[in-house]
Amino acid sequence: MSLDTLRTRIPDLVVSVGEADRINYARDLYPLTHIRMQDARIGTRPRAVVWPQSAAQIAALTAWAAETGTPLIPYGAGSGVCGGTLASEDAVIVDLKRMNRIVDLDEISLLVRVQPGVIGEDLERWLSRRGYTLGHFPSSIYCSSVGGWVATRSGGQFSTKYGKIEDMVVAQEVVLPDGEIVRTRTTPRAATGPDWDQLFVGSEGTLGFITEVTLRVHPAPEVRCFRGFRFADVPSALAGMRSLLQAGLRPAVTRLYDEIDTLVAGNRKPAADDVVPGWKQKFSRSLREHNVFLQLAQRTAFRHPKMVHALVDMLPGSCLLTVMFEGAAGLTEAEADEGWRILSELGGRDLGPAPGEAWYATRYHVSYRQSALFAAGAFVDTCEVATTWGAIDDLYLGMLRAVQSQALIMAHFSHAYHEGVNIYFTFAATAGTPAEQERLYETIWERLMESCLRYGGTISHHHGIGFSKQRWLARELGGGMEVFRAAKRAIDPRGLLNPGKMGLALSEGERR
Amino acid sequence: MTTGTFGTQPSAAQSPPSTGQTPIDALHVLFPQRVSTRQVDRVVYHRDLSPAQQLAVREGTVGMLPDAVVWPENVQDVTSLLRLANEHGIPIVPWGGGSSVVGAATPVRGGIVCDLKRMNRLVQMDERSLLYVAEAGINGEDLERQLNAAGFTTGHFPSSIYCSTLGGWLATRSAGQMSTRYGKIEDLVVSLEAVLPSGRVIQTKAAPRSATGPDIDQLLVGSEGTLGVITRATMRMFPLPESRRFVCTVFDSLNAGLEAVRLLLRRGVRPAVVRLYDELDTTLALSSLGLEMNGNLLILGFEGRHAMVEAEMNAARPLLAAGEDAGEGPGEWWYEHRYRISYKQSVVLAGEQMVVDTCEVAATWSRIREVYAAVQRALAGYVTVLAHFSHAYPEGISIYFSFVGNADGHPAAGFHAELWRRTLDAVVSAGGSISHHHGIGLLKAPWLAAELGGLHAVFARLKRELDPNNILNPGKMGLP
Repeated sequence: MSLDTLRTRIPDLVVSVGEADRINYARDLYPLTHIRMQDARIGTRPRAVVWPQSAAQIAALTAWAAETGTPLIPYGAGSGVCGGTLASEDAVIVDLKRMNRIVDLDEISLLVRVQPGVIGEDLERWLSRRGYTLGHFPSSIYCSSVGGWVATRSGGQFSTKYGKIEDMVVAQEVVLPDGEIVRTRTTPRAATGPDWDQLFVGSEGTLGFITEVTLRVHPAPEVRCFRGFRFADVPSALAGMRSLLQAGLRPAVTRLYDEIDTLVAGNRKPAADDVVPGWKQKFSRSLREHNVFLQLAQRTAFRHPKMVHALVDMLPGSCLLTVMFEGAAGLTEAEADEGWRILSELGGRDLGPAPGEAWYATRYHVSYRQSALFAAGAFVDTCEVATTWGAIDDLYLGMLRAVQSQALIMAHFSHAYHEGVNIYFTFAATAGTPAEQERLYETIWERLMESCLRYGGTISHHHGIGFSKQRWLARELGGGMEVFRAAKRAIDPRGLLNPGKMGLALSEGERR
Repeated sequence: MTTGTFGTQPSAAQSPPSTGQTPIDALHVLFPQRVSTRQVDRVVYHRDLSPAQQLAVREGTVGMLPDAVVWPENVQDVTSLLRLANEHGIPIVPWGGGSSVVGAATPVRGGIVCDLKRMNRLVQMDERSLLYVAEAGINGEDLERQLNAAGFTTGHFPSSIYCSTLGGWLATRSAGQMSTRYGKIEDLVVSLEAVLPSGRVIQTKAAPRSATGPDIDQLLVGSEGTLGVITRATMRMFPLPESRRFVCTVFDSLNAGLEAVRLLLRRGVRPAVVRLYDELDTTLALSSLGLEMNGNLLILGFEGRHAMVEAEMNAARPLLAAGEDAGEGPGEWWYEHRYRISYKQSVVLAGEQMVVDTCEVAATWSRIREVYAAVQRALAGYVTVLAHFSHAYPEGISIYFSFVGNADGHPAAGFHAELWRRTLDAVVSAGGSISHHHGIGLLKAPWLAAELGGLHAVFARLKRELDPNNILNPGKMGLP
């Protein structure tokens, strides 16, 4: 296959076959690829990287790809943590970041139309200057794009009020693998067949290139009310969270940290009344006041996760629930008052606004702390699952127990719904060589996914499937995989779009 | 619509047997006592509630009859039926309450009507997760009453609630009168059990939310029986509200009312009920039920916890200042009469030349006035047009038009078809969506390609992949 034909076909397409570019695009933020990098294993480099500037160029690109049998991999900002953009050596990465225009803001209908390559933070600031917010704040907001959000079913930190990305999408323009450019209609709601937007949202580049998105926006909030509550244990705090949601209240943020995560949650000032006696006090203070990950890594505590978990179990159990309401003045305070009343009645100790304000000020920091840990010879990853309120306690304990002997694991619950909640596990561990680390990493994931499915959880709440979770997708979808595969055959019969992902090409034997 | 006379058109189900056993024989073996080939059943199930078919019946025309009606009792029955249908190439029309007003349940190619009404159990209530599991054939009002008895509500109140089913709601993307608070059916569903055309049973996961690929539920919801038979669903339920209050306002102009509603939604106020009637609808429709009003009436209904209802009413009032307060009375009156209006149509249809129908469309706030005006222009002098706006969103609103006309000596069917041609052409060119919650079926199928653009072909391709023998509800939604 020669790229010359591509250059002839689309003369103004920006193409690179440079080694630096091919190395850069050989991986995304999938932690397994970080582990391998320590061993100087770069991964498979794509054949080339291209930067299209219009849907028409992408349409021409798909025609060329069909003729030459070239796999194409849509690429946003590369912040995926599931290997969703990993390439084969014959694949061409299609980086959409040059399609980064904010096309139109309809202030009457509260809709913004944007190209896929716009970086999240850029869009939010642009809207903010005009008095609006998108309401979508994934912790990757500085390094993720609108197209990536839509393609992977992103969820933001304020999702309980504003919804997840699928709730924000009103219309899309998509370039199909056969080069046809299709659009869904910009309408509030329609009973005109299946919801085609919801076919492409979450398709992770396997069904088409999302080239334009129309999203709901909201007036910027007039007021914001924070409050922290301390609960005796996770189940009682979960009951508080559930009652808020089932009372019909819609806080922007509800974040519940389990006992370890409450200690680790950052260098935040402890509440004045939060005093535990003797050595326990010192231990929890030490955990709290230092970057506990580094601290523990340096002391090789990851080699003894069982001991750390046992120690934490001995601490006086308590966990922090942070809640924030925002929106129009008057309505928001009334909603917050109702919320504080419910949480107090259920045994939450009111800690005032400080814990929430502290979280808000540092809400994007945690993702950037991981590199220090990798540098210290350990690895860290996160696993986000979800289930109904009725099943949440079992899912939480079941997944914790599945890996407690292998990794230091902690959790917070950060997206609450009428009928359930997600769990965001963070785990860290270490092993001798990178190869041993890799094996341990795979074992931990195997145990997490198996226990998740056993206890009825969904294997991904908002990170997606990509490469890393694809073996479990068929079981997750309970026969729905047949529908997904039918859609793939209907739209991409040659299988040229992001092949090798989402279990679409796995044989029976490769599935878990 | 295909028309014909009783039993004259041969179909696959009656085709000469190659194996010595006709498909009908096989049905009797598979569903003893639960299959009917009686003429009376075939006539009853040959049409749904679409006015086009009611007009046809009034004129003595009978359409294609199904060959048989089958009443499955469980998901395995549905699987067996679909396997049989694949073997013989027989059309299967999934049937809920038969209340479609667009012909979605009409067996236009004959075949077998699969009536799901014996699968009508409320299977489970999870009071902690506020979810219930029910079979597809459960009647809406039965379901609501069963939940009410336990202190809960579905939050879903289509005006067809007495004659529609959960499965029908899901298959057609139904919306209820309190949708602005509780959501439409696609917002209420958490997981589905369905039988694909191959006979394969799928069960999607009851998770609050997943990032595990395309949303399979949202492909089946609204597919109107073309992609699968929905047999069971896990749905959200809500505690019965502590309080229900109404705020009613009369506006001199429709525009002032629309603007008030837009600003309410923009501010984050979430009433359960939002109904803005234009002048004619305020005068004619409401007075036909005994409420005398003039102007453009806006009914807002709030429900939920006492404190929040108070707070929302307080937040709403300043935004209604352009109108005149009409108290709570009209709202309470509407609530009492909320299901009656649908049953008034038969009176009009009884008149030999009269034509009556309704049309629900939607558009963004930027386009809605043009859609309203375009339909009024298209029908000026043709029929009387009444309208209310009854499902509001931060980005737009729906319009529910009611038409009353007199064919005046012309064939009613042609008069009716022309009414729809004018209406939907106007909606499409003004940038509206051709259906807000009635669905597509037969009636709106000619406009679906304009609505969906290239995605209509994607729909057809997906249908072919899932249903290569085209057994499920063929001939609908502009599909083969």
